[in-house]
Amino acid sequence: MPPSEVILDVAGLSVEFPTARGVVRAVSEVSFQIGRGEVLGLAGESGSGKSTVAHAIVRVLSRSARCSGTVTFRGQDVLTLGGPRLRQYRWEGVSLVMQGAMNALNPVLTIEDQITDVIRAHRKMPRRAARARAPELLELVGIDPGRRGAYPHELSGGMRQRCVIAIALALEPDLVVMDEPTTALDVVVQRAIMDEIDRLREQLGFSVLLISHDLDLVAERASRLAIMYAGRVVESGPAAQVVASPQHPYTGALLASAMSVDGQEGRLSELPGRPPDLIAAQPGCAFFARCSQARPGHDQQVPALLEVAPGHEVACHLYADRELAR
Amino acid sequence: MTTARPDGARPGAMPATADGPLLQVRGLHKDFTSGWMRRRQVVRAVRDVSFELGAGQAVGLVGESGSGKSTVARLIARLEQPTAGQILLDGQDVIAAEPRHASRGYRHQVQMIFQDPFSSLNPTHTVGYHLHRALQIHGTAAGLPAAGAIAGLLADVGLDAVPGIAGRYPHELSGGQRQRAAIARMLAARPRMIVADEPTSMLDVSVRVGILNLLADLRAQRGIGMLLITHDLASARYSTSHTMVMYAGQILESGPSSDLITDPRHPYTQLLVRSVPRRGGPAAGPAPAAAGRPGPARPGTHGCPFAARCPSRMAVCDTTMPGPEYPGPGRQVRCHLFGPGAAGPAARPEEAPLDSP
Repeated sequence: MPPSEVILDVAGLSVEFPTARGVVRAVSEVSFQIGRGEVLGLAGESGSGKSTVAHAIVRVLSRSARCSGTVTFRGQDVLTLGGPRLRQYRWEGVSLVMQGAMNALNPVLTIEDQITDVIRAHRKMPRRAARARAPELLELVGIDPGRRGAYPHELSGGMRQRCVIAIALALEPDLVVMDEPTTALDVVVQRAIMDEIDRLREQLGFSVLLISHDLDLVAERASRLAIMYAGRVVESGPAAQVVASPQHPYTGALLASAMSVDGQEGRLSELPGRPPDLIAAQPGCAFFARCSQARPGHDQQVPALLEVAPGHEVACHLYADRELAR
Repeated sequence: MTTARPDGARPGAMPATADGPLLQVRGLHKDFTSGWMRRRQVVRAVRDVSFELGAGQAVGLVGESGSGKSTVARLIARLEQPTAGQILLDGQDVIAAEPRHASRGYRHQVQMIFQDPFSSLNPTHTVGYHLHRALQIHGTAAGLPAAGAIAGLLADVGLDAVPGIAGRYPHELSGGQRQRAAIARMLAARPRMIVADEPTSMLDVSVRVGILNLLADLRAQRGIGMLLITHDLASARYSTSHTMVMYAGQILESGPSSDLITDPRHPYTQLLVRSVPRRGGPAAGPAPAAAGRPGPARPGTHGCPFAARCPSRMAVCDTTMPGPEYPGPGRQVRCHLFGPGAAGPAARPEEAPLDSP
């Protein structure tokens, strides 16, 4: 089901990095849309390209990166933005909460100063007025405003992460990209922060692109899910449907390798092998070498995304074969 | 070679006393002091921790950061001196025998695995060099050509299929391969006991299970005991038979892993279990306990350390630490909800008859 009002439309996005060993194609033809107020989950192993997608959307890729495809944010072409419009897009349109964001804070400035900095960098506003926003923002993310004069080292990991979220929300963006927002935190703090994000999203109406290697975390919070492997989206659909009946063998293997607190029968098996080298591009399905259901011929062509149920798409030759057999 | 053990057994030899537990920890305490004179502060990082671990058995120690679980690991590996308490390996009190520093003999037998294999391996040396050095230091490769011994270690951890692995540097390996290389290095000492401090928390969910399966195979094949320190209840449930839940330096609840996690009794354990992300959406139930985190316990504080965050707090919780109660076979909980005279938590009236061990 297409979302009612599309905030972000990513179409055929590819990102390449030239390196001494050759060109690394980190992201290949990734497409998805995020609706207003929606949480889209993007999951995959390390090196699947999920963070590169995030960086391309926020336009923080290194200069050497070559992007193709389009990223459209509220009708505006993001990949060609420059100068003041790019500046406005970042943080006022889209903000980024990075992995290990609690180490992203400046250790020699108080958290109040860091919030004030972000606001004054974007809005013409006297320092005093910007400063007055700090307690409100801290209160919003559940930090006692009395702690606004604290330095980052005086706060726990969870509180620092809340500060980073406060800064990300300071200019009321329409989309917050969260790249592993709680990976370094304990479960109790993780749950509290994810609940806080849900509450703020309902209150303020922003959308979230939630990126993590932890499929359970993403599936718990997102309404739709996209699974990435070797730079491509291999499966996407309603989160509950994707985890209940995964259609791509990779999604199935990822779900089967995750230990559950609710227990499981017997010994789980690790997904054997490693993701392929993205320099030496293989012609066929990138999951071919690790796939338990691979058949001869699956290594010839990259499978296209096919709709297997309403809103549920899979890029796997097994479905293309089935279509042909009909 | 040091002959630390009075029976003269070689490190790595099978236990002389096969019946008794491999490791016994009794009343372990650790205080850290900082400051000087009037600014002197004492933090009670570990208080009265006791448990047993048999050969081939895995025991989990679960808690949030700051709960003291890594201090327990460091005490058992003898990287820290305990303030009080006993650590017995094969029934021998190792602290009484070697009060100041652990001997190399003890370090052969008790090895640690750390959370981040990228920082525990030297970035300027190859995998082969790391293993060669470990074999040299621990003197376990006597008579074997080094290359054969290194190949044997790589095969033990499932890295033998990776071409040219011995010549690679840590940055050329994936996270899972690095942790396997660190485990191979540890195996060079032929340990009898492994203290694994968050061995999988830096790894992708998809490779965690492979590392835990490897450790389970090593336990089964070689009778190695393991203390698994983690904040991840799912891995504790998957790979340990018994789990202890630690908060502010104390064990608040312990029991057989699957019982404890399916049916947690202590409000803190309940909070931990309910906080775990679940595919089908967040766990239902009352809002988790108040925010906060394990504060440092200081001398002179009485009562239950979890009281400030506890949804079932009672007046008595602020003044006295509850003694252990035994709500089921192999289970122990320290909570006033289960104390003598208490009716138990309102939610569980059916649990009134308590078995004592």
